[in-house]
Amino acid sequence: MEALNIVETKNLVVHMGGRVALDGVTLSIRAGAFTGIVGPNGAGKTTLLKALLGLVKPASGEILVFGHQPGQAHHLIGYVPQTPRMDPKFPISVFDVALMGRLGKRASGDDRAHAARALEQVGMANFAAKRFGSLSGGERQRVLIARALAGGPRLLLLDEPTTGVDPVTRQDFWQLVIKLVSAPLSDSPPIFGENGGSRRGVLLTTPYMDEASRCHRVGFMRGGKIIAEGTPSELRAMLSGRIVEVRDHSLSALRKTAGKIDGVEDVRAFGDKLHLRVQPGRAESVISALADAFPARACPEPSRRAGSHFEARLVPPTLEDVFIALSESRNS
Amino acid sequence: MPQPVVITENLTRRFGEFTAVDHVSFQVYPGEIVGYLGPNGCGKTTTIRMLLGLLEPTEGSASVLGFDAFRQSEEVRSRAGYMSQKFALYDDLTVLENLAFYGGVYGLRDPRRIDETLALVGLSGHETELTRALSAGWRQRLALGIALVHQPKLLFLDEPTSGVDPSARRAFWDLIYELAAGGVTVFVTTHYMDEAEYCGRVGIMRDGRLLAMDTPAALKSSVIPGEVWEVYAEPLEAALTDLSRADGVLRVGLAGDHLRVIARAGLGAKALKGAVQTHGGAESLSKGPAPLRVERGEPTLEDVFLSLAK
Repeated sequence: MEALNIVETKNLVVHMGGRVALDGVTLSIRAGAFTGIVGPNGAGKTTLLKALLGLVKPASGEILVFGHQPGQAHHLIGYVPQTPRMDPKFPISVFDVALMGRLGKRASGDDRAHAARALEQVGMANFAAKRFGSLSGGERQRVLIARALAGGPRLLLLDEPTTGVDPVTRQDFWQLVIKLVSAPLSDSPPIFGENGGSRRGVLLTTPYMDEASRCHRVGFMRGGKIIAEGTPSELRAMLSGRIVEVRDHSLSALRKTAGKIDGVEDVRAFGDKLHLRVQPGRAESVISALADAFPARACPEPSRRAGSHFEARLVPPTLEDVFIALSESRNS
Repeated sequence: MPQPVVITENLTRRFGEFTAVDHVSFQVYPGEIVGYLGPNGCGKTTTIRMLLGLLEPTEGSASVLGFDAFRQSEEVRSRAGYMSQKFALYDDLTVLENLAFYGGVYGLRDPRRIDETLALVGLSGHETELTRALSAGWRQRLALGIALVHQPKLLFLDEPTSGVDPSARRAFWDLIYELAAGGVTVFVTTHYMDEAEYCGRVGIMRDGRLLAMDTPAALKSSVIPGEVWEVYAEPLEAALTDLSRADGVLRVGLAGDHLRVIARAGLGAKALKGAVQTHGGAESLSKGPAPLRVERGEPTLEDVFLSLAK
């Protein structure tokens, strides 16, 4: 199945308050897929969302949303903000929150039916009459997704969707959104000819690598630029065979020794272990040099910590390993 | 064995009908970095407030640095530092002024201590910069400096690196490891699984209860009931249905472009592939899902959390 780009930006530059907020961003978003933009606060993630919504004007570059200028494609985009803190006494019902998704959009048809259907899609139909403020964080998030769905969007923008939520709720969230993306769109006509764009696309922003690793495609964002883009596997492959995990009961001694071994580029303390980044092809020689320096021995003190004797192994790189390696090579 | 820095015994706090912290017992030793991992609202902050003596336990007790946390809270607070991502920095003050102000709160008048703190957190040379102009990473350093200015023996970090650059996070943790090596005990709360991996031991909190506390490696080997696999298949949902019915599969969940499976140890990739193939497609699909790839996954603290939450 050839993926279809529903959003394309080319060399997008946006100034905000005299600062370059987006600095030449080229990005495609595909139908039927999750695209994740991961980066720290201030990297430009929110500005990018605003640019797609047509809320900020680019200084230069191109941006096409479903083939339109961003301001003209509003009705095709559903925006889900971070779950807001709301006064539990604020008298708005779940149904009315969902109905808000219809306002300012297409005036035709039965807006209430659309809102009800959206609540059904997220499994919140039974909550329609409840007060929004009385819901749990996970339930509110579902309602906000319903509000976004009520407008019949082809693209969902999710702003840091699972920051601070329970892993169990997070699991539910992903299952729901994956279903929304994989289901074919039957209720509205295709936008690009016969079969194009028959599924929704999702763009999500996140400061968390573990969240990004669940996306089909990930863009690393830093200082207004996308510094790398690809599938999580492609991005991880950039450091394949180059991350060695080492444990010992004395991490500080290990750390000093490891930094001096030939072929070690970088040493990073990581809880009860170290992660070494080694030069390509050097993993084996580094592991044997470490084993020589730390011969197997009994742990000198009865310790309450597990994993307290020497151990070194090659581990799959994480997205964070890759992000740091890329950031360092750009800084130097 | 050295004396613990923090001892809680059945520490409990109720707000009316609601139990925010429910009979929590643990110990933290000098120089340890202990994480307290859980979602927002699970009782992390309530625990810290009790450890700092800001809140009276409804039941049980907390001893911090040898003092009763509530009855001797002044003693505790003068020896403990607290840093939060939402820490109130004065945006209109310079870096130096912020530090001097908070130092003054602790009765510090010696300018050399302020300079030492600036050097410790890597802010020397930035004294005259306005706080509002600092990046997230620099603000975080300043907040840490403020927590450290009175040379505490125990440091509480509340969600210390949410939203900062991975490189800045790493530099931050290098500093924390240095402090711990120098004997400072560090207690970190976070809802962020990746951050918990930086800690020497991690406690898992849910609904006010401490479900487990151990090293990340020990938690992964003792709590996760099997082996972790990543299954790439198309369509994903049909494969999910197949695998959730398969023998030996303990848990399966959608994880973006693949499925995350916890299977009985020794079940193997072949059996997992077979489960997807032989069960055929779900309901209306003409073709069964084709397994593309089955790979061993690295266990994460999220797997631990989900295994405990059941």
